[in-house]
Amino acid sequence: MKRAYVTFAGSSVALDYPNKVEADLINFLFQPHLTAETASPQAHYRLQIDPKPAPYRGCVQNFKNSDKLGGMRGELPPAPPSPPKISDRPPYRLFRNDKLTYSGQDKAALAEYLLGDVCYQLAYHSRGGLLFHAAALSQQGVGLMLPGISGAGKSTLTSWLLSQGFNYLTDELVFIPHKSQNIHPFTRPLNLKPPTKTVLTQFFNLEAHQNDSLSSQQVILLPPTCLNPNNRLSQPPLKLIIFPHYNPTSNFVWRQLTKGQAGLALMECLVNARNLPEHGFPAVADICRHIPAYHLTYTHFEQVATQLPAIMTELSA
Amino acid sequence: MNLSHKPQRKKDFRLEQIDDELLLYHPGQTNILYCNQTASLVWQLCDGQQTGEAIIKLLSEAYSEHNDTLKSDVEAVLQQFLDNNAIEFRPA
Repeated sequence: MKRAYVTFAGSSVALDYPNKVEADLINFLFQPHLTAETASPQAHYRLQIDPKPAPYRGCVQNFKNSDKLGGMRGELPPAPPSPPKISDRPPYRLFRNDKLTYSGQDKAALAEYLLGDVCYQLAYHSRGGLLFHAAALSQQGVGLMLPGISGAGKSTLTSWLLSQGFNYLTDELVFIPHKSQNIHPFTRPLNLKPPTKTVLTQFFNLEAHQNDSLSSQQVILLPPTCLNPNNRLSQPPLKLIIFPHYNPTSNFVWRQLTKGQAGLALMECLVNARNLPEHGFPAVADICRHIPAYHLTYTHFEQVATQLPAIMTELSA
Repeated sequence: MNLSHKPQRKKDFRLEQIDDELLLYHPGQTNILYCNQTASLVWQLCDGQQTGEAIIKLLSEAYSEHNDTLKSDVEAVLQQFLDNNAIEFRPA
């Protein structure tokens, strides 16, 4: 059994795996965050993928028409023992701290579950900085953060911006270490749910990247290079915060928030407050004193294109 | 809420002043109070030394152009502070 470590935001987990097929999945999901051995991983996972179940190799007994079988005339001989069923053990299984937590038939579902569970473990134990539920991108050295709850429209906007030449950093977690203003992203494949997929297929051919991605009915896990072949990972300084809301039936809203309003909104997206001095409150307020923040409600990406480029150019100057 | 009583800020609220705004946060609670400029002024005046009526009178004199809405604004702010356990009213 081999072991890999995923480290992020002051926390880490260990992943045990037997073969290359598991190693390939771990690399696909966590490559930027794989590290050497760490002192105290917060959780131990064991990943098992059986490419195809072993076929049943039973035997058939030939019963002779013997008086010893069944006894008296007319009595049926005893039935031969039933052969064991061909193994129906699901091929994809995940254990956390020796407890089976996932068992299923779908590789993409396993991958999504593993990603979500690892993110939860890392976030729960994160310390040493502010950890936000947020997407992040960069352009010309300017870091842009998109905080928001699940379903707000972060992944949808992130995917579109990536296709427009932005560099993808994360669609889930942003860590800003203490005494730093730089974005440390949790970089993973884009996690696209059906609503996002519906929007993206209007301008992007997802089918052409089937071999590069993992997909199921519920999710597509898509490497960012599929949307931007020149994608570059980095840890840029945070220069702009946008709170996105995708609403196909609403009016377009682009409004700069006051610093106090931004502080309130940002605290709602802070996921490791319990681990921080004074729940991270002064540190979040300090970010909002220096970084401009906007509320965005959009129905079409073209609306975003009317506002964002000018601000990015100004900030990169 | 009795405006003839004196509102007093409760201890242990963390305060972050950002320009004219305030963010109030109590470590034992999960909600954060956002105070715009008016609410920030009201918070500063909740020192247990003057009644709710006196606070309204003070702000009315300072912001006479907003007299038609100021009383109801201040009452709403005080009620919100009370609802979130940020102040208590003491008899005058």
